[in-house]
Amino acid sequence: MTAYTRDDLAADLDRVGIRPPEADLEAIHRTALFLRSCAARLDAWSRAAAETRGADRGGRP
Amino acid sequence: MEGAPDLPVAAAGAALRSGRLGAAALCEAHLARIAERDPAIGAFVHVAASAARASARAAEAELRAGRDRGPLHGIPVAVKDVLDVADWPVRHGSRLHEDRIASADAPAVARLRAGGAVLLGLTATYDGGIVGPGDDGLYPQPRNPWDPERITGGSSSGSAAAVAAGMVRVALGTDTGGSVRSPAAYCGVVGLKPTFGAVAHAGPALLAPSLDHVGVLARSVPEAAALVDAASGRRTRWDDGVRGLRIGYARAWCDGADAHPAMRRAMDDAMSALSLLGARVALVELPPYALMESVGAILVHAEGLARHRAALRGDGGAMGRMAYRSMSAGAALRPAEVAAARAAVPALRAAVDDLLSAADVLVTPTTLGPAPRFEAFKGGRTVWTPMRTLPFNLTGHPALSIPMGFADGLPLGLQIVARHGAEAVACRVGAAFEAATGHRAGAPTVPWAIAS
Repeated sequence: MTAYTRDDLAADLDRVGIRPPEADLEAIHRTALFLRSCAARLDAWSRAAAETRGADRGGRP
Repeated sequence: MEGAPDLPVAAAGAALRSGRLGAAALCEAHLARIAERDPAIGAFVHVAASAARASARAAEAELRAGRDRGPLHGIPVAVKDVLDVADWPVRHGSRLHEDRIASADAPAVARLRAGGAVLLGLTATYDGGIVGPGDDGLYPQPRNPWDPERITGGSSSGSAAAVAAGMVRVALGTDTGGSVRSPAAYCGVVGLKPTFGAVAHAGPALLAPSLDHVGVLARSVPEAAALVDAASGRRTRWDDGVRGLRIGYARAWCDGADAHPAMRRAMDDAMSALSLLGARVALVELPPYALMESVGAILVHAEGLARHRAALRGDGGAMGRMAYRSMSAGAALRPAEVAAARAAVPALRAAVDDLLSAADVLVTPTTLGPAPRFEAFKGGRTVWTPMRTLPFNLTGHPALSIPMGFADGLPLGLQIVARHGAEAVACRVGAAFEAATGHRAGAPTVPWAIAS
């Protein structure tokens, strides 16, 4: 998982028209970091599952 | 002191049909109970006393005339403040909907009305039915009847509190990630999330369409099944006892850094009890909880952002801060990640189905501990309460939470998961467990005189 900074968050929020007050930013950032970790975990599992499928077929993943 | 509101649904129904009790008197007893107890709890946000009295009188007249609409005829029911009831102020606990009046019944409500149920009122939910307990929603969050300093869990907060406090025997809720089952566990009542789609969930306020379920909260397993039947048009029937049934115990899901130390012991005790009753208990390995939670969290936030996008624009206006902060964070997800989460669901569902081909039910804890204190959420702090519920919103399997025991004098919940469409098997195990252990006989002893 790469860093996900406050600037990254601001750009993502702006893309969907959300402009939070300063007081909300830290909490949004914390939840966003949790979701980034969820995406990284899912990606690792998907890659491992693809490799297993490849190995089961006797070919390259 | 016990009274008519403490009669189980089947016993109340028998009394109504024999003429020993009138539906109007039963309704009055419930209204009096709410007036007595709810000031200390805050479960109800709208009590429709006049409408309830009118439908109770109609039910009484029909039953007297021999017109029987079914097991819920004349029985008082509460409805979560996200399910529409025609002409009622269904406001989703949000200042965004402060003046909203529902124009028609939600499908589950329409079925209850057609079945002669007496709709008593609306119960509290988190802001938008999303996340909580916040302190800036449309109304204060209810207190847990076991300890007023603790949350009820949510977002079917008021429905769980109303059942636990003896104000109603059965109530409708909704469940997108555990919103029926976690408050059931925290409040020491039964929560049943049926198979995905079993109870139609049309409604404007629900959170994530691929995960939303309509479910129920009740004082006992048979009463939960009766309400699901009435809301879905099905008939759930099961044989007594669990002799010979195969129970897959997902023991690894009892653990976690945030698990209460008493949790694994409580689960082991519950498995011992079921084994004593004749069930065959074996350990099973569900997919890693963290993986299923990750897939679920991605979908909840992606679908929630899409559903509430208009309300989230700018600074979110009147939306509660906890809901705004949680849903806004969905912007951090990429479309490919959401697609990957969606693509993972069939494999996870198949893994659970595979386990359920060798077991009749799977069991896990509902939450990893008892209800947290309100103070943990002070100032709108986001707290990820440890639960084991979201995976079965993903997979759509029916899941039942029943009282399992206590930690620190507070209730814990046992989750029973069955094959798609096999609510009856989960109920069979749950009913046998509650009959054998008597956990449901435990009732909170909050001094109702405590002023709210």
